[in-house]
Amino acid sequence: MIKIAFPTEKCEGLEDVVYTRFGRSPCFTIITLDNENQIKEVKNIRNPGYEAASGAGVRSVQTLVDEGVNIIAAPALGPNAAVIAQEMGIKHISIPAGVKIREALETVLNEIRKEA
Amino acid sequence: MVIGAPLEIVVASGKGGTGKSTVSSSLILYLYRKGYKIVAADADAEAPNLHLLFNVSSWDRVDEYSDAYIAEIDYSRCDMCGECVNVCPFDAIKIVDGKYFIDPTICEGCSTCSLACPRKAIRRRRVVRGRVMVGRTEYGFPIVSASIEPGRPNSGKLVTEVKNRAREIAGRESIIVLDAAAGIGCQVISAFTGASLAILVAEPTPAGLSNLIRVHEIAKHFNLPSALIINKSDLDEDYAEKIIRYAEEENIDFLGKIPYDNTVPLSMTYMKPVTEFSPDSPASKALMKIFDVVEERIIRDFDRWRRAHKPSKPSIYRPILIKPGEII
Amino acid sequence: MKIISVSGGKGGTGKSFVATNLAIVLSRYRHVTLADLDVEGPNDHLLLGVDLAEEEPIKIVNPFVKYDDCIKCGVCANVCDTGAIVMTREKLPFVMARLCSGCRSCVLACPTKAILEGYRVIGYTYHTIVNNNLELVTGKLREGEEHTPPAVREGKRRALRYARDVLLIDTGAGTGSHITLAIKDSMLLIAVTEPTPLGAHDLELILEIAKEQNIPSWVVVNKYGIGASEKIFEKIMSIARGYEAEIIAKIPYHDDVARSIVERRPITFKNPDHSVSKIFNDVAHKIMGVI
Repeated sequence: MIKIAFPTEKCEGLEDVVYTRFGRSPCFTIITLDNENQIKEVKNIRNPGYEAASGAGVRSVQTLVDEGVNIIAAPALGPNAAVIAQEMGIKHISIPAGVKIREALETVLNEIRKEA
Repeated sequence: MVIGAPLEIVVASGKGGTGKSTVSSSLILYLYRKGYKIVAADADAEAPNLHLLFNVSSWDRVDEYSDAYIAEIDYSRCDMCGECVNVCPFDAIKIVDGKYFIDPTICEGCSTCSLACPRKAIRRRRVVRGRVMVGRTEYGFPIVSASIEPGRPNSGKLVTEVKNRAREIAGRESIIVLDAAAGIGCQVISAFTGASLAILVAEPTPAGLSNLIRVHEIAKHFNLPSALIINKSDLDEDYAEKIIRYAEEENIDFLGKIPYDNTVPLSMTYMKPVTEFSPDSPASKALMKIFDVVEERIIRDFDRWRRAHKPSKPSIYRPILIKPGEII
Repeated sequence: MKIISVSGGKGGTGKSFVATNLAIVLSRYRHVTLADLDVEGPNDHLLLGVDLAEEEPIKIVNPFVKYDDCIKCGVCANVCDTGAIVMTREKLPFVMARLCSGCRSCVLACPTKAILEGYRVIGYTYHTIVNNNLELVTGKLREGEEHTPPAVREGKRRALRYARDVLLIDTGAGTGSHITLAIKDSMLLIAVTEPTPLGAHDLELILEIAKEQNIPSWVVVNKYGIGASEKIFEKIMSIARGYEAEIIAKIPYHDDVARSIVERRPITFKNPDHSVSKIFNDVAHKIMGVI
């Protein structure tokens, strides 16, 4: 089972768009795929990093760790978030901002298939 | 324009006095007059100067910043064992008038002395270290600034507050322009965090080049695309060429040169960006040309520019660690 | 041994220009150790035209977790005030080196003494012999490290090792605690400013810091002649008066100065009879009168 997190602006799931920032995105859309890579669940959560005074990136990664996420699909991770993500065994796949989540999911799936 | 979030431009240089504030203030006014929604942000809480260039003398909103702590000794419990002095990592504790005294200007508020004190005689207390201010300039756009009490540590946290406040004020389509502090320390690192791009300002001197390389290294840690302006370019045309070559090697977008122009310090005296004070001066003309390039190349199609100017020699921060017991 | 600091608050006013030229003139009469504590961007060696030598690392404590002894209580992460300790999925502490300030609170707080002390190199100090009577000690922070104060502290410590008659400290820009640390124990602060509103604004901040440390100040107005110097000079005079700081020199903005900077040959060395060099002679004599 794979759980992929996308930073989003409005918490609107598949119809939302990828936000430009990771640590300070207002929401995360977390998509759970079953063993056939079909969408099992789409969940939207608020990002505590959005309002954090500092350390937003690290806090965001920790939140996703608690949700059991294995892949972060975002334009970029800041240096601290990148270190934590790596340490926690979470993969980062780079996708452009502004893309609809539905589309972004396809890009991520292609990446996953390539590596399989 | 970037979708869904304000574009954050950091104007930095590594070295002081190269013209960051000169460039930021004029850039802010230029973009505002072109119709962009702009938020001006001063990312130097130790020596905030940006508001002076916009003639801002009063603020609409001032919030005290009190996310700082200092340690204090309860003298009724202290038995002068001196353990606190032994463990303090910042040398903040000394004897004054026969008693141990924690210097509030150096104490960074960690818990080490209070953890080490056998009499539990030390407590941490929250202190007000500075303020974050929001105002509106006479031109019409908002400005966010901050100031830390002189001599105190951790100004980087105040810069983060400035950025948070600027993002609160900015709408989806806004551009935030941050005037960074000199150097590469915590204030500059906070300024770069989460930014969209860096505009680096360098002067053509040995120190100018050396400091440019250092600040660009920080930009690379954040994988930021960068652009370059050479200020006071006629100081030394050879050095200017060296700097342009560095920019080419690193895939930094060279935007243009500004000649040394006494109108710049003169405009400061009248609290105006130089392009406003004297639009026909050589510096103003050069700046306007550069800003036309910024608008056309960088802002209009930011995603494309960003991809074109990603650092060609990426660099990540790697700590140099010495394991316990290891001898170097 | 006397300590004199050169500071200014605003970047680019000419602190390093003043410090290096003053060091050269003073070294004709006394042994001078010049400490370049502008660790984020040290430039004195460039202005003097010398190389950095005798590199020594600046180390601060960096915690290492002994996972065998860790009971996963999370106290270390709670007590860390820089957010450098993060708990992983398995509730094990992970240390983010870059964020660690070396305070050791985690080491002390751990109930099973599972956190050991190693080090992290945050920069380097250097020692260069400029001439018979002038030595340069430089502190340099590694790019990406944000804890400036320990680097300033170590640079100052090393400079004190070589200091004999005079220790001249070039502090760098800013008004944070790294400046307080640099100027501590000085008998005199020379505040270098420029005749602009920004220069005057920051002059006040630096004089405030000196006052809090009970260090008497003198003011040098550099780049005199730029902008509307006379107008701002009046403001500077009134600020200086408020802090009982004497304005001891007005250095005019001069092309020859700019040239000396690019050529890496200080003007007092290259052209000791230049009018600007004479100003440094006067300042040096004034300093000798008080040390």
